[in-house]
Amino acid sequence: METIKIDLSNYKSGKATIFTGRPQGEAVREKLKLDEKDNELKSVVIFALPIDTTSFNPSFYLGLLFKSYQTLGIEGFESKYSFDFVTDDEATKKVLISNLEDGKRYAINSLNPVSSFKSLFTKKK
Amino acid sequence: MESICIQEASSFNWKEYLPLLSPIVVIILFGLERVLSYKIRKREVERTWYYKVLLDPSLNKIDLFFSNTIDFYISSCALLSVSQETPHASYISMKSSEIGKFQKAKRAFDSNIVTPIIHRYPDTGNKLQNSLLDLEDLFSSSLDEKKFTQTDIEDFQVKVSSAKALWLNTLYEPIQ
Repeated sequence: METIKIDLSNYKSGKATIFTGRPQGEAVREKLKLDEKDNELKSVVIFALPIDTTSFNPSFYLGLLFKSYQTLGIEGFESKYSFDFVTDDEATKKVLISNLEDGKRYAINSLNPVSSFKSLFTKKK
Repeated sequence: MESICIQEASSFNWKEYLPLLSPIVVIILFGLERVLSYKIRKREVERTWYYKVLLDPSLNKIDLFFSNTIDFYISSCALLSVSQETPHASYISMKSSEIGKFQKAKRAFDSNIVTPIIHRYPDTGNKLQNSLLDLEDLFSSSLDEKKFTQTDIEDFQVKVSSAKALWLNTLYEPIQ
């Protein structure tokens, strides 16, 4: 299995320390050709969040990854995409983990609002 | 014999049935009125339910959330503006924590207010959720761009007030 590591520091705007905006996320998705990567069965993708990232907002997360949720489904997405934190600061890491959980929750809710409660209580095999 | 039968069959006299016309019309109108009043009653029950269960208990919380957002921003600006000389890594951590405080409040607000709405009124719920995401972007990008001056804060307050007005309008959509 090939591992593709993507450094997101190349996709920030200027001196920003945050990732925000659904359109910005969609633009990065296009640059990274994630539509094609979704269909590459023999690869996994790890996004590296730059060391000075202070927030990875759900709006950006949805722009970047919602289409992959639609293409791969929740389980397929989780086995394909993951995140790596470069920062060692625990407070920042905590915020970023919450950001990613928020993004995931919004994506799952948008996929199927009626049954999304079920996914919260379904144990992973 | 054959010609007599044809004559009888074709001699349907609609005038004989004319007296029945008026009761038929009355029955049809009665039926329509029942269907219409059932639909109006059902809509009224739904409006009352939405108002009592979802809207009314949320109004104070909504007001509090938006005014807390402004308070969070003012206190974050105060802290970050005096901390700009601190080492970069500490400043980054501090900024992230300040953004995180607002996000924590937003998360709680989202699950208390938006989640119950989104499951029954997905269109309205999605609009509300998107407005919250926009507000979150506004909060974090304003802090990231160091918009700490009094003018910046006033500008932020105006934007939050607009977001609140938009939010309330969207919230009323299901009972309009």
